[in-house]
Amino acid sequence: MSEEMMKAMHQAISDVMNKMFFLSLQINEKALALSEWFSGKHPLVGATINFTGPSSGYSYLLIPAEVAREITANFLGVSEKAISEKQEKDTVKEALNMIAGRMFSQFDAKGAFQTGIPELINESGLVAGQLDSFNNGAIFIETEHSHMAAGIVMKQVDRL
Amino acid sequence: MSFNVLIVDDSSSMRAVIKRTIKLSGFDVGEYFEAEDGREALELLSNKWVDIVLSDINMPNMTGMELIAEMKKNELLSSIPVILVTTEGSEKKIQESIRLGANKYIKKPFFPEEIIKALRSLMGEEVCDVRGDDESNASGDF
Repeated sequence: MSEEMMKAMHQAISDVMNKMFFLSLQINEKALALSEWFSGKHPLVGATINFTGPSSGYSYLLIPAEVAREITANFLGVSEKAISEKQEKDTVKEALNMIAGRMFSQFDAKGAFQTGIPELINESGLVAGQLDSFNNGAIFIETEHSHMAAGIVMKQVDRL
Repeated sequence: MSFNVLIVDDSSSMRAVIKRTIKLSGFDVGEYFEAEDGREALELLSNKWVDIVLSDINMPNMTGMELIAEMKKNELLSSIPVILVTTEGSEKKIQESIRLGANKYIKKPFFPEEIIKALRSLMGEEVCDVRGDDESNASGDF
């Protein structure tokens, strides 16, 4: 991942989580592997969004289910008890959609990149053994009470 | 004077957030309609009276840009104002949407005030709640 893209991703995560989900966070620069970061004890909700353009690949967002519930409640302005699993998943997809859009808008004024429609990651893709396929380009994020991760996986680099 | 709103977004959460923002802002809304994509929005527009559309761009089946293009072809729908609320943030996309006929462009993530300001600008002050406290609500309970 280019340094410019990584920097934009950091900023986008922070902007979206603060502005829409009222969540303050900081980036953990020391973490190395997603399987360790999430430890496998708590279920995760994950989403991906494809992008094409001067380079292609996908961005992802991985959030423990309890944090997904918290941000969904913040987003919708209702209590956590009133949140359905469908709303949680929809909110994680929309969060990633906003992060990707915000990221590209920071360095892609000409609109060379196109983003797709966000999709959920199957539960089988969220087990510890599979998580590390996302390690390259991962951003480890700490919230006040928990943690999450996001990142970019490049499929093809035409001209960066 | 009340007005009817159509919110078009493939995310049900985002539709709920936009609806809540408008509700909390004291606008005198008659009915809220929702659609998951442009195609569903067009079907709804052919059956219901809608005064303003707030639409995402990037949606399956029919995008927000395609929706605007279809609305502009229809004499009855062409004058309905459209606010695009979208993650698409490039200058190129904004210019393209204006050329197609979008009236306002709001980038996600947004502050509630941006929705309120756009609605006021297009619908006029008379659509605000008669209590006159919409300004204080604007950044309140969101």
